[in-house]
This record gives sequence, C-alpha cells and structure tokens, in this order.
Amino acid sequence: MKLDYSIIIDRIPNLLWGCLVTLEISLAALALGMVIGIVLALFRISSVKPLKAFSMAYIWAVRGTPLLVQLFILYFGLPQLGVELSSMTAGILGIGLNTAAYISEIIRSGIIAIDSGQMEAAESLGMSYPKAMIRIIAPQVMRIIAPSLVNQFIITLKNSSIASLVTITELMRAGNQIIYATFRSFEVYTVVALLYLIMCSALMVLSKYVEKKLDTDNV
Amino acid sequence: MSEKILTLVNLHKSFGDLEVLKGVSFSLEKGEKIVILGPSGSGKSTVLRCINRLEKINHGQVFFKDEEITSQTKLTRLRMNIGMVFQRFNLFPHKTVLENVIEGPVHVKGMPKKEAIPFAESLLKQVGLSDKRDVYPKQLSGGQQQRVAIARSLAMKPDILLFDEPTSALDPELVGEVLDVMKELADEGMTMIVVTHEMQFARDVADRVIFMDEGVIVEEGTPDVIFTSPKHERTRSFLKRIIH
Repeated sequence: MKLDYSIIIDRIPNLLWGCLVTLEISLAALALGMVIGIVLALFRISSVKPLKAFSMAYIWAVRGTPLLVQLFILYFGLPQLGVELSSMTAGILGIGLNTAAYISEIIRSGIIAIDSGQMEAAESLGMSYPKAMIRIIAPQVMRIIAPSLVNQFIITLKNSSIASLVTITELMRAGNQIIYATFRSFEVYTVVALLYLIMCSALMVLSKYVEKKLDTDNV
Repeated sequence: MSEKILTLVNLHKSFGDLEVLKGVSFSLEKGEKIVILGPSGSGKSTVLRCINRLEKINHGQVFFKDEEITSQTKLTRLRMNIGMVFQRFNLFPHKTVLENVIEGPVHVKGMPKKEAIPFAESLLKQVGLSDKRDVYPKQLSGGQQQRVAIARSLAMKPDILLFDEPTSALDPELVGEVLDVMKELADEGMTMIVVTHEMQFARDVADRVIFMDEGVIVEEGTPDVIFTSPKHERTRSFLKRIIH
C-alpha cells in the first residue's frame, strides 16, 4: 500500500488543536504537580511523623501503580461514589497527582543535597524557617534540580497521551479520530509522533538553555 | 561594667546515647571576650550552637539580657542580636558578597535597601574587601569568605558574636587575615565568644579562657593563669599537646 500524507493536510488543524489540548493538560498537570510536589517534599523532610508518613505512603502508592489505572479510578471509578469528574478534570487531576509524586522526590533530593550550614547560617541571622526555605534554600535547590525537573516535564507531556483513554481529545485522540475516518494509521501516527517530538524538543532546548544559564551564574 | 548580657545555666545536651554537654554554666559580660579551648569532642562547639539553638538543649537555661529564652519569638530576637561565624563560612553561594551582607538587615530586620547598601559597604571596607562587593563567594579564597561571613554577622549590629572555630578550615597562610579582623573587633569592644585552637589569639584577646573537656568546664581564668599555671592535670596535658 502506498503511503499518502496528503490526506492529512486537510486535517492538520485537528491535530494542531490536539496539540493545544495536550499542552493545556500538561501545563495544568505540571502546575498542580509542582505545588503538590513541593508540599509532599516538605512533608517528607519534616520532623512531624504523620506528615512524613503521609508523604511516603503517597509516593509509594503512586509510584507503585500504573498511571492508566489511577486515571481510570478517577474517571470511571469515582462516579460510583457519587463523584463525577469531567474528563478534563480527571485527566489533569490524575496526571498532576501522579507527576507530584515524582516531582516531590526530585525536590527532596535537591533539598538534602544542600549543606545544612546554609539553613544554620540563615537561622543564625534570625530568619524564620519558611523565609530561609524560600530565600536561601529554594534558589539553590532549583539550580541543582533544574535538569531533572525539565526531564520530568518531558515525561509528563508524553504521559498526557494517556488522557486520550478518558475521552479527552488531545493530540493522540485527535490522531485516532482521523484514523477512524481514513484508515491511514501509519501516516497519522508518524505525524502525531513528529508533533510530540517538536513539543518535547522545545522543552529540551529550554533545558539546555537553563543549564547553560545556571553554569555561568557562578554557583 | 559587669552588666551580664548572656548567662548559661546547667546546659545538658545529648546526641542519642552520647552526652556531649554535662551541665555547662557560665555568663558573659558586655564587652567581654571569652575563648573556649578544649580537645575535639569536648563539647565546645556544641555550647555555642546551644546558645542560639542550632542544637536543641535537653536541659538547662539560656538567659539573654536577663530574659530566659523560652519561646520562638524570644529565640528570634536572640538570634538577631547574637551573630555567628562558622567554621565553613556558610556564605550563601547564590548571592554576591554584597547581597550576602545585606540579606540579614534587609530581609530579617526590614531595613530599606538604600540604607543597607552603604552600611554593608562600610562593613566590607572594615574587613578589607570593598573591591569584592559584586563577586560570588566561590570566587573568593577561604580567608576572604570568612571575612565576608564576619561582615554578614556584623550587618545585624549584634550585641555578641560567636565564632565557631573560624580559622580551622583555612589554609595556614590565610589564618592571619581572619584573626586580624577578629582582633580589630575585639579592640573596638565587641563582646565575643570564640572557640578556637589559636593559642596566641587566646592569649592576646581573651579576658577569660574556659577550658572544656568531656562535656564539662574543667577550669576557667585569665589567659595568664590558664596558660602559665593551670590547676588541672587535664588542662596541663592539653596545653602541652597543643603548644609543643
């Protein structure tokens, strides 16, 4: 069978629209993942036992189960308990909560890499713990974890394709819909792959830029 | 004078099963310079770290200007008024020299930057580093970093400065420049507690020398008494080992 990419040309807007939805889910999930990830990391290093235990249990459960199963519990399982989430909410929530576990581990590794003398110096000036965390520890942690963080962003962006299975018309599902109409799996999926590659490459370029920027900042 | 500015009463501190401080008490008068000597593991650094609660104390009391430190609020006030200089400098690596020095006044005390910057510049001049205000700590030698750390502590206009082995991490040729700055501060009347192995500094600067071993104060007195006629065998053998 001859390959024919021309049938895709007409449908490019559908795919680009899918890209936008993919970016929307990914960015929202990352924002959610960052916020919850920071909280989980702080819980994890806290001396308050229940907080520490909660964080550890959360990370254990999320890392030990497939994202797809987590997403299905949210979207198909919760309605049974009377909680109906829209597909978009379930998608963002599921991917965000999943990403949070990984981000929190990245942040924690960054925090424990900082010399304890930094916090001591800040506290000896009379600075409060939260302020020292924000002004002294966080900027140093960011420098250390920036590459791993961007890597996690790339993983999350690719994972967002799983949202197609809870009926969100992001890039993957937009591609599938074209295939149902044209039966051109190879052409469509290669173009879909190319579009993911472009989006991820943008993140990779950003990552290189960030790394270079940090390198020249004398730290 | 004899205005007591800091009093430690019966400090006890354990790390797990290891009892590091077994009841340490002394007080400090305004303008007084105390040097704490002792073998490693004697608890002398821990005493300093218990004063501003970088270590929690298991038992005992700390009074700052007759007020016992019993709450976080009081501790914060104490920390703002007692500066600390660390063995490994602990400068903030992501901030320039000037930013390190203004960090405390601006972000703890709320001093406007316009005021803090000229003040920080005058402190950098005092420690001989005016030309380094815009560089990052890692571009400085250990001695220069420690002098910045001293300026950072001074920027809080502290009543007392604690020095925790300030020259122990330095190459020998860089020790002098840091000690010189410390001597100048002492001459200007700064109240200081210094944990150090620099015996000459102790002789020149200390009003009182405290010798610690195994978590207790073995003896204390003027440098003359401690260095020339120590009463205890433990002090004698320590001094003999350190002053060959």
